[in-house]
Amino acid sequence: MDLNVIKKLVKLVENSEIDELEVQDEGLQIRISKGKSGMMVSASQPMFQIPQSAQPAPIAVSEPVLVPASAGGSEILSPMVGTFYQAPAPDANAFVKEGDSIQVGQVLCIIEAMKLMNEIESEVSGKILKILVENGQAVEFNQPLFLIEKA
Amino acid sequence: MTDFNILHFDQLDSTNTYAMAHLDTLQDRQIILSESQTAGYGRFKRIWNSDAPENIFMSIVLKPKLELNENCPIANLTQYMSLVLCDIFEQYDVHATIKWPNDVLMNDAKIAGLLSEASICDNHLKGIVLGAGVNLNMSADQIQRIDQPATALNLVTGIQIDKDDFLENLLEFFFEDYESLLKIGFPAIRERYIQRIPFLGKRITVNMQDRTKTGIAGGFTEIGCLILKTESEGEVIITAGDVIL
Repeated sequence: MDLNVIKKLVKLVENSEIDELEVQDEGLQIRISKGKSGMMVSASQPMFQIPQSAQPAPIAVSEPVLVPASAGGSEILSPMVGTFYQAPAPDANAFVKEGDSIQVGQVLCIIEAMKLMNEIESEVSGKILKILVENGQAVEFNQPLFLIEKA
Repeated sequence: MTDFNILHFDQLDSTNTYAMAHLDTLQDRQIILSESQTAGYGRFKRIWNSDAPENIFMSIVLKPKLELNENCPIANLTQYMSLVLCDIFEQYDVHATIKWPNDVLMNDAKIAGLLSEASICDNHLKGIVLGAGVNLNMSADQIQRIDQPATALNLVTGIQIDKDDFLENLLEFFFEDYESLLKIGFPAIRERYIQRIPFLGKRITVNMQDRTKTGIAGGFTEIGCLILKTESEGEVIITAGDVIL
């Protein structure tokens, strides 16, 4: 989502009767809220700042709600639209779990799109910090799947 | 079949397993064919009955140079293959239908199953393995041992099917429009595909591992996903699941 879109959204909330607006786009979640101290914009990730001078109204950028990926981890993104599976079959063990050490080329999950089972391999070695989606969840292109601490 | 590069085995665990294990060294358009499989499988490793040597157990290795994005057509290859199979069955005067995404049925009994697998690393597609099991020649006894409604082409037509002829047709048809499918994606086959889907407009249930959704089959998205019109959630787009008719 580019900055101009966010600016427009801020204006929209400011000039409307709604107090809060939450928008999700390509893994980025933004909340815009109207408070006594002015407009508030918070984003889940990645971290960014809105230049205050560019805004007609006072804008306060709050601390991000979630720890952004840039804080020491790298993300594995979904290469396609599909369904996320942690294991090759419903009764099989998960490929990886949080805390596991992983190697380059290790299969982390499957993204299924219409009976095309895509094995997603890790491009880095390191440790799985967090699995960001649930088993069986529908995922979008470029949606973050894993947060990895690089070795 | 001089036009195609076929690796022929008497027996394998599964042609897909072999192809995925050797994906790095196998060439683009390499065909893996086996007379039988000891561990043939479908979606979620469900067993695919593989002991009839006059059936087709085959995998095609594909290594297209494609950028992965939200419209990448690689997920449409099995839909395309299901259409190719229907076209070939027409040559035997048999009308087949498709159950989304790619099961091929005759009189509501499954005659062919497709499962493709791909390996992706760092947003780079290493290769696709398109697996196909086609019931060409089976006995009624063999069919009855399958745990779902199934049939074979010889049982529908009443004649023994020449496996080599069928296979050559299959590969020729498949590679005829393969490039255009990769260029255009699902819209390249949309009209023909829809004509093979009898459940459109009807009430269906879709099983998705831990849950099911029921609604009216409304159509397909631009990338071939199923649109289900549900009462509770409105229109839901399904990327993966088993359709129960």
